[in-house]
Amino acid sequence: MNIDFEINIYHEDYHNAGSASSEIKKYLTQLGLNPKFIRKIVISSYEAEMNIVIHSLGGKLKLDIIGNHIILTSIDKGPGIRDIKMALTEGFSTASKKVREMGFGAGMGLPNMKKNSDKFEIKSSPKGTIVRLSWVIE
Amino acid sequence: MKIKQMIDLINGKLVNDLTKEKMEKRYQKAFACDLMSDCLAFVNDEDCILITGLMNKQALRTAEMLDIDCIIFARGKKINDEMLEIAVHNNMTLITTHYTLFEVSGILYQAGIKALKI
Repeated sequence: MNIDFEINIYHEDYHNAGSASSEIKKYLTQLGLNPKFIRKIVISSYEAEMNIVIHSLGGKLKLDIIGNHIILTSIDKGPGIRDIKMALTEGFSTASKKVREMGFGAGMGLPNMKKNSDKFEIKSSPKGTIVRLSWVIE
Repeated sequence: MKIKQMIDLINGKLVNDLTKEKMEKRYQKAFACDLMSDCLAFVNDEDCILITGLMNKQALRTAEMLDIDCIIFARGKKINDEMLEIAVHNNMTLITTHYTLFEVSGILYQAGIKALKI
């Protein structure tokens, strides 16, 4: 089974933030996967989606199912993460007061994605950040 | 604890109509938080109530991702139509109360609702 789809995410589109992950959840549920397994994927997906909305100039979420692997890729157009090591530290955040008032920006996003995925890869430059998460279907 | 008992204890208001099955569902644990990042990081059990004062769509989206189906909104805030739509779509129970997060947590804890172990 090779399936893929992508959803565009826009900078500061707080109105729709979360709807891409909601679509992903709906899709994975239709596939009949274990709800606890789906939860790990959609927690990661929602964190990635919020990161694109909050921190980037826009980007997309891409879901691929290749064989028994689920791959979620978050791709954005920049401005990049200055210090990836710091960004992976729980509690470190560069989010604005506005974002914190919305309940985000606690510095748990990337660490939480890492925790919930089987494999976590991140590359960042001023041109953009790519986070690739993968899971072996349980 | 069933929804009806919860509502009585916190002087709450049920926002949406519930099926009989939902009215009969028993909850044993709760997590109280305004920070959705922390909910996503720490809630490890879908069978719990989310108590929050955060009144926006992200609270609903967070619950959706975590499979949480009951949210108590503290501090007397109003739920808008967009939030209600997400709740209905995900078969969630929404309750509002004028009590603060601390009061709701205290009342429910005293009545036997346990803290989610993180």
